[in-house]
Amino acid sequence: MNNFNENTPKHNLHLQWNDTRKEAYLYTKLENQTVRCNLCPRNCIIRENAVGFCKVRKNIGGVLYAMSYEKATHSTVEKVETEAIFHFRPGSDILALGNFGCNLDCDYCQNWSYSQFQYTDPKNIHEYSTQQIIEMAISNNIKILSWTYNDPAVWFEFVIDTAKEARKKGLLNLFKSAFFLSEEAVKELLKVIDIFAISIKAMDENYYSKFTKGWLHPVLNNTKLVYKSGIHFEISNLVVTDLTNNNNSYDKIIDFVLNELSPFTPLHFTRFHPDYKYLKYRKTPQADVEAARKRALEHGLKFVYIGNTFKSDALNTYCPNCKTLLIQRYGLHTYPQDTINKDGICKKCGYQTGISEICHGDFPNSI
Amino acid sequence: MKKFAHIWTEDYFLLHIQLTIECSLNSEVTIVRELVGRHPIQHILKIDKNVSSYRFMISRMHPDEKSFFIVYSQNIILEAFMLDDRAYYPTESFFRS
Repeated sequence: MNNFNENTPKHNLHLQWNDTRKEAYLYTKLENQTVRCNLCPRNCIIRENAVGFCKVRKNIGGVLYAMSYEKATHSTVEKVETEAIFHFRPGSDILALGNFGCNLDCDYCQNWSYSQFQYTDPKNIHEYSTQQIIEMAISNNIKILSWTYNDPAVWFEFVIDTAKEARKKGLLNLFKSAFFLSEEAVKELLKVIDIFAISIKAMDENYYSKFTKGWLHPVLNNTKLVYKSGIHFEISNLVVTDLTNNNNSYDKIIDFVLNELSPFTPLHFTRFHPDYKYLKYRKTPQADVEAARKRALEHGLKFVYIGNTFKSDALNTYCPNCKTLLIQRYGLHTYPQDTINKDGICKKCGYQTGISEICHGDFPNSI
Repeated sequence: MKKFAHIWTEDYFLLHIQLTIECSLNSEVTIVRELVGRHPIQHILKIDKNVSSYRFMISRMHPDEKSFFIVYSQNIILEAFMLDDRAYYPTESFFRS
């Protein structure tokens, strides 16, 4: 891990990287060569030669450009469970793709060394075209592209373009995001994304303002849009030591999922680890996320999990009706049991879990 | 051939492995997971000569898996990165050879 401190070197990639810019999709031209970015709720007003909050969208000659188009972290082969997605093709490989910059600035960001653009070291920049990404996935027999890491929100144009082309080749797209986006942007994403992993940081406007530099209500509205669309999504909530590891926080997100979404929406309570400006806080105790999960189940949610731990019953899927163990997990490895069929139905009681395309492996059936 | 060996601890269950292929040759990398009381599990990763760099996550798959090692050819540089969070892209490696 790189520890953040006041001497952490800063870079200006705009002066160093190759020009692969693309005109932004969502912006309005204003007077005097100024533009308003419409990608996220900030609606940054950007004068000529300046950048928005995310630092990767720049006004050049009165035109807003996505400067990080085709710029990426190294593509990485991972498991779909990495993204807090447990109910969509469990155990599938994904091609994880990250970018630079972010429209939030969370004090505890684990990916700050590239989500906060000014700290991005040029050595971490890779360039991929849409076609190269699709070929990488196909040649590695990977069916899902995962737009992840920093926050793919600020990579909007490249995500949209690549996702469209990937679909033509039979690939699926997963979008893991804090979902701090404009409604207009979400509506565009709904056209090309197959799976959403939505991170809700807390159910508190003051928390968002203080610790993420964003605000909550657009995140919740966007989440409701996804729910109404019928596209598969799962919610995760980072439980931060001494900030959100309390019953009040747990109850608010449980109530939101129950009342505004569905009791069948998978919810993941994820452990925080000390990072960025939050180095003095300890890693969230496993007992805390397990307590949050227990509370959510007691309140009526059907599928609740914990994250960033590798050994716990709280990683497993149980039949909500007869409580039979259906899928056992160890870390990011998934072991569907003989008690669930490939269509996600509990063989004991016939309950339909909604988990798609289960593939039973030959080792080990049980841990 | 070169070798990278790793013993899992209770604190970390994930690594990123990045392979940089120094010349255009078809390459093969062997990953062997060592399990207590079971036969080792071996995966072979074939890398096409047109691929210059390949990165993947490896995670502990079972409580009996105590360690793993990777055997790779001289034309490959292997870098290993520690992760303490799943949705994380580490940039500083702890092993490079």
